[in-house]
Amino acid sequence: MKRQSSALSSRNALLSAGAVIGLTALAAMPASSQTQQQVGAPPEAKNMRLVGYNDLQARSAYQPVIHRYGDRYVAFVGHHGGTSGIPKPVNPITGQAEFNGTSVLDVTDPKQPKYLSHIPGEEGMGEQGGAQMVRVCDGKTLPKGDPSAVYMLRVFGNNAHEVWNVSDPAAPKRIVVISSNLVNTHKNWWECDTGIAYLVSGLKEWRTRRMTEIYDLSDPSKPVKIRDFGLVGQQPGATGTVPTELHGMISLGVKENRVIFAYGTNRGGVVQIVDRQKLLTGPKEPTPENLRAPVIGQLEMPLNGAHTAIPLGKMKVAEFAKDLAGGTRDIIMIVNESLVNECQERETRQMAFFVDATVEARPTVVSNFNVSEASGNFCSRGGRFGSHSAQESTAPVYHQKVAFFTWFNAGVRAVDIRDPYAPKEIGYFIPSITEATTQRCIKVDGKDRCKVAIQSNNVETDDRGYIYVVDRANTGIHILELTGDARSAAGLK
Amino acid sequence: MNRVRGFSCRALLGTATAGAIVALLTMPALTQTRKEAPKIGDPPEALNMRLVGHNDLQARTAYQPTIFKQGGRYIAYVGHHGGSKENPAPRNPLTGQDELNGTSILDVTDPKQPKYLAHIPGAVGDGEAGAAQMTRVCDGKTLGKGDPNKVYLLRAFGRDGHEIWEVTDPAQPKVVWRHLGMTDTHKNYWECEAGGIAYLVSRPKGWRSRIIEVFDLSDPTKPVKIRDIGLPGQEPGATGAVPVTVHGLVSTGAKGNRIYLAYGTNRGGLLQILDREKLLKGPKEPTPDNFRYPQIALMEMTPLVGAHTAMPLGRIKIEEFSKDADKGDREFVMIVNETFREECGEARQMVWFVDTTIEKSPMVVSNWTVPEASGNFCTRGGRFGAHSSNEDMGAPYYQKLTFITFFNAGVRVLDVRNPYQPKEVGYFIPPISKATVQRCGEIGGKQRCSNATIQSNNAETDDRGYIYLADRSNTGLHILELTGEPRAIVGLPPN
Repeated sequence: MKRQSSALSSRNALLSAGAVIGLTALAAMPASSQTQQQVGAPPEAKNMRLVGYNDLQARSAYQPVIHRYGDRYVAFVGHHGGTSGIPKPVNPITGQAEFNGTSVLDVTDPKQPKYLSHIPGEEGMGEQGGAQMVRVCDGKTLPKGDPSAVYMLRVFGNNAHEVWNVSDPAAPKRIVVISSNLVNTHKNWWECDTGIAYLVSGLKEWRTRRMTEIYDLSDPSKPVKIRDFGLVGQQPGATGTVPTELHGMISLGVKENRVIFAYGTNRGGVVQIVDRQKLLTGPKEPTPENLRAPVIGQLEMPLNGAHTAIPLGKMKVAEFAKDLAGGTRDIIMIVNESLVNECQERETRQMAFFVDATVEARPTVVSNFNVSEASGNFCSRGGRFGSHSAQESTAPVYHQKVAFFTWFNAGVRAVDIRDPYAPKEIGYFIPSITEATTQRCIKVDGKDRCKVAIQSNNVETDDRGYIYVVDRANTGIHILELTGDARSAAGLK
Repeated sequence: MNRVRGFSCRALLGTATAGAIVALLTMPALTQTRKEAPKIGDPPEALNMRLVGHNDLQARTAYQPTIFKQGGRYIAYVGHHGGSKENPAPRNPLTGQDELNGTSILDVTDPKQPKYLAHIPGAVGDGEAGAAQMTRVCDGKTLGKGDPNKVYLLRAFGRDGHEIWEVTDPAQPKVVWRHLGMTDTHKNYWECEAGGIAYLVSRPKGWRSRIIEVFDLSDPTKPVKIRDIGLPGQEPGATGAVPVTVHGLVSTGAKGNRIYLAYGTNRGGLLQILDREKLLKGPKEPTPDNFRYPQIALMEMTPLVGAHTAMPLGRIKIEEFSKDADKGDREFVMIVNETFREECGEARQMVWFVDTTIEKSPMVVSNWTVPEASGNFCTRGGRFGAHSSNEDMGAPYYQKLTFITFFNAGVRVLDVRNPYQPKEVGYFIPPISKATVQRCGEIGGKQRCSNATIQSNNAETDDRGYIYLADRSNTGLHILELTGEPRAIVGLPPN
């Protein structure tokens, strides 16, 4: 990596919160055709700007969740495991070397995010360890929770699911281990009004690495197993080809009575629309018949995977306003996950798709969103290029209006989705790399050839309109806001 | 309707004045779409397209144009819907007779001066109940067993069935074969290669729905039936709900070995992909198992839309994906829905692009519609929405530009080089004339008529790059050419 003479090249300056002002002072640039990011170069941006930043102790970050404690905003960030260079980074608060787990930050003042605590995770590099997934619910909304408590559900590496009491986010206390000795874990969902949790687990007797365990966590201290769920052919004792493994799900809760399951990462994607009531109260034995019973509609996408399927709900489409029928459409947004570096290894472009599920039994993809490769020569910048995730907040500020997609080395992309038949990019932000940013390698002539680039991994928004984007390549969390035309798409001033 | 001086009814209906009309219509076109209903005398609305020639087609409502090169000439065969109650059999000036709408045959070698050669009358019946809406043409010398010196026209005969005409001299068509006794005839396909396989769309007696009869027409004078194919549940004796009916199909012949079928018109759309060889050689009895045997995929669309045409675009290398591991090498089918209702009385019918790279699991990836607000099309009158596309699979347009008829929004030119991001690069909405009829019927729950507007119905292209656009509301055939950007995309010389 080429060293810059700027003050920003100092690791210390970058790792301290005080450098935030320095970072924001640098004028953002449009994406260029540069082939590699440079330390010290300003971020590439359009209609988005940096508000605040934290380095997350240079830990590789996956899921950010922003939770309100009254007037206080707290960010919980799940981490992948460490790197071979630094398997166990030091937590300056405790002074200890700790396996990557969960970072907890006060982001009430987004300009000055304050790191509160780190909860160590499981040993293991990358996806082998850490505690990548996190969800948070208030005790007062959970039917049998302590009304004064706040609870965090997280994975413990690939081994287990845990519930923590995070009433004081600076001093989390583990309450219970729900399910352990698992083969794998991943992107859970927790209904904060009922306590029903959909856990992405790998039970040893199942034929797939990832399936669903459903628990009643209405009293988070006393988990009650409800059932297991998966695609027909994944259940114990089945034969033949094993269908695509689960990635995650989102429940719409009691009223809407739907759970949307997403299977696959970068190929063989399946999205299922499931009747929640039938899922929770139907016969529980994992037989093909019982696994099929709650399924209303299913969609297959062979060249793409379904990292996340986000139900956007019923949307009035202005283009169809004068049509006698079909002016309101039920839309699901699917985000694929790019897995490979530099567009290699059999992977087709992973992107975002919009599904018309107005007739639930026959969901149809209708449109897609993609970042132009040539706009930044992203296939040769280093690391992954392609979609990964989107915000899951349904706060009115952005819901059904603006989607934020993480796109690995192309940063986070702001997309106007008011017409889901014709999604349109309105802004983007590719954070600057720092000395903490780790490299990504591909094999060239049998040898590693490595490059350093931002790997924007996951993103979340809060009800104030701040955008939280976290980096898989250890650069930290960037708190952003929309500017210019992009603000008007969301109705922001 | 406003009368415009010097633009009389007779002038428009007489072929002799076609040149004068062209001169008028090629005045600098408005490059913007108007917001109000068009009037007689208004210039066309156009972007990157212009009028080259016009023929009024004897003011007959027109469906499928087929352009065929024969004897050094370009001949257009235009299928017609039936006439109207007021005028069920318009006058054919060539014969001096009143003739039920059938097939118009024109010499379009000089596209500026299309010459009307012959009209073959069709079946009794108004609108879709009569006439001869579909046309396909093959050369005897490519069919294998046909007379190599002859040219044959396969056409629908009303709802009743199918006919073959010898059109070697396109001014003197002669009937060769009649296959009648069916109902619900529609959009046939005929492979002009050896084998002469034809897929005849109609509902034979005893069947529960419109299906496909497969024929060997390699010798058009001696047709040989091969088999029938439909969806399970459509066969005689089946029970339960009848599956959605086929609308039409396109075959890629022996080499491509695929047939793409479109089911539904404005709702319940399905795309079916069949293995052609398995269809032709597989067990023929009309059983559900035998129907399923040649099936590679059956893709359901959102039931809000139908499938009028399933047009294979073949393998396209997508520049945007060129650095990805698959080099952007994908395969596509384009689906065009058909709008049925006037004034937007249904869900929007539009255009869809399906990635069929993994054939067993086709997936829609993108859509395209004309923005309604760009011309206030829902309130202009008549139908607004997609209907059809050109089906020519040769140069200069295949896999680059496609032409979609959109009823009152005319014909639209789409750049399909990246089917993930289809992009409009031109359009042409012909001007209406005295011959243009109003669309009447149940509109918005009432029996009434809506404004007379262009109802661009079907389009076809030829290897010179001319675009032939047929109007459902009797305005005739407009021959167009591209200008500007889209012309450069396909490498046609600047004009």
